[in-house]
Amino acid sequence: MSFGGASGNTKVFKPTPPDRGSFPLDHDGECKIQMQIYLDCLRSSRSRERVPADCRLLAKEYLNCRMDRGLMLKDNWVNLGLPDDKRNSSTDPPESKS
Amino acid sequence: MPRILVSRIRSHLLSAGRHVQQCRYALGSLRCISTSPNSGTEPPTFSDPPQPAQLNTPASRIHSKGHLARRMKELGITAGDLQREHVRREQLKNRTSGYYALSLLIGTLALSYAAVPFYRLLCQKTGYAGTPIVESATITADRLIPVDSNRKITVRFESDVSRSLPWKFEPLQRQVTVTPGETALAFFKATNLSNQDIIGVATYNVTPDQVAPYFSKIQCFCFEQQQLRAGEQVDMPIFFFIDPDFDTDPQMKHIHEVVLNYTFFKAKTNASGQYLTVPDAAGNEIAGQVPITVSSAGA
Repeated sequence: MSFGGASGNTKVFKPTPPDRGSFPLDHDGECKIQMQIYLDCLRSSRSRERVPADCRLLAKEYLNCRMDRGLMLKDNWVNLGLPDDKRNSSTDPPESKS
Repeated sequence: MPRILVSRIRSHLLSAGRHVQQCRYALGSLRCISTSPNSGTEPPTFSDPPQPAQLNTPASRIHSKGHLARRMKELGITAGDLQREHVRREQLKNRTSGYYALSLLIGTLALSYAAVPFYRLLCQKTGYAGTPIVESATITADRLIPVDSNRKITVRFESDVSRSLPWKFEPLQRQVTVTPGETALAFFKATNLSNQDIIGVATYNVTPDQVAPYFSKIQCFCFEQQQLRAGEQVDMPIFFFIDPDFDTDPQMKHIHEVVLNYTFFKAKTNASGQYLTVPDAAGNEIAGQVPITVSSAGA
């Protein structure tokens, strides 16, 4: 990987498996709409900087769609680093969730 | 006179209610010590428990075998009674041991059923026999809190496809800007350009190398066989974050940009078209041209 790298840093890169495994493929495009909305939000946020934080509620919508369709294991939002249903984001208006 | 065990005599005579005798079979004869001063001829009263005073009487009389027979006759106990008592106790003992055996059988059966999930749990916790530790508790909620500082990291996405794989594979966003501790969702798109179903497998690479320990994926599409039908197009998400400790590491101070590169390989097949699997370091079989050393995820 790196010949004679920094002597203090002996970490060699090892690809690690994802924590929760692999996303099942969305063959039927069931969550394509949510994905499109999220990507549009990303593209529109502050020209060059794409900040996923601004679009985290849309990311939540996408993951929610996946969970509903059985394409992802259901989990608490706090374990995924996303805002909970009860708490409202300070920037976005409250949306009613299931 | 049938051979009678000592204890049964004693207990039967105890149940007779009045007299307590301690008998011992020694030197070929039965010797009994009576602890009651009365050797009365009254018939046994089964309702009376032995009185404490009688039990503590120090008077003693040694009886021989003949005396025992006479005692039994006095009390109205026949040999048949004792025989029946004997049989009844045997039956009780058999039944008890039967119950023990049955409960042991049921217990063993239950244990064998419980062993399966227990073993699975043990393997998952300790990684025994190469089981990958994929607890979701590895990345806990407290690691997913964005740090307060103004630190922003630009993550650029690159994609590559192996030459033998007729797929088009590209990221749907060129880059995203994240804060350490903040989870981000990003997408790739893969299109199968051929007219056959193909199975591919992806691996990833993070540059610069020092960032790799801090780069954690919650969920993605890598390391597992992904099949695309002929001409199919599919969106593949990755859900990742950069560990909050990245912010406090002095060696990471100068890093502002990270490149995340995903490469798709074709799953290897043998001559007859069967997909081959290559075991990785953890002993799991994954398909791919590149033997990938994977270790359990740890932020």
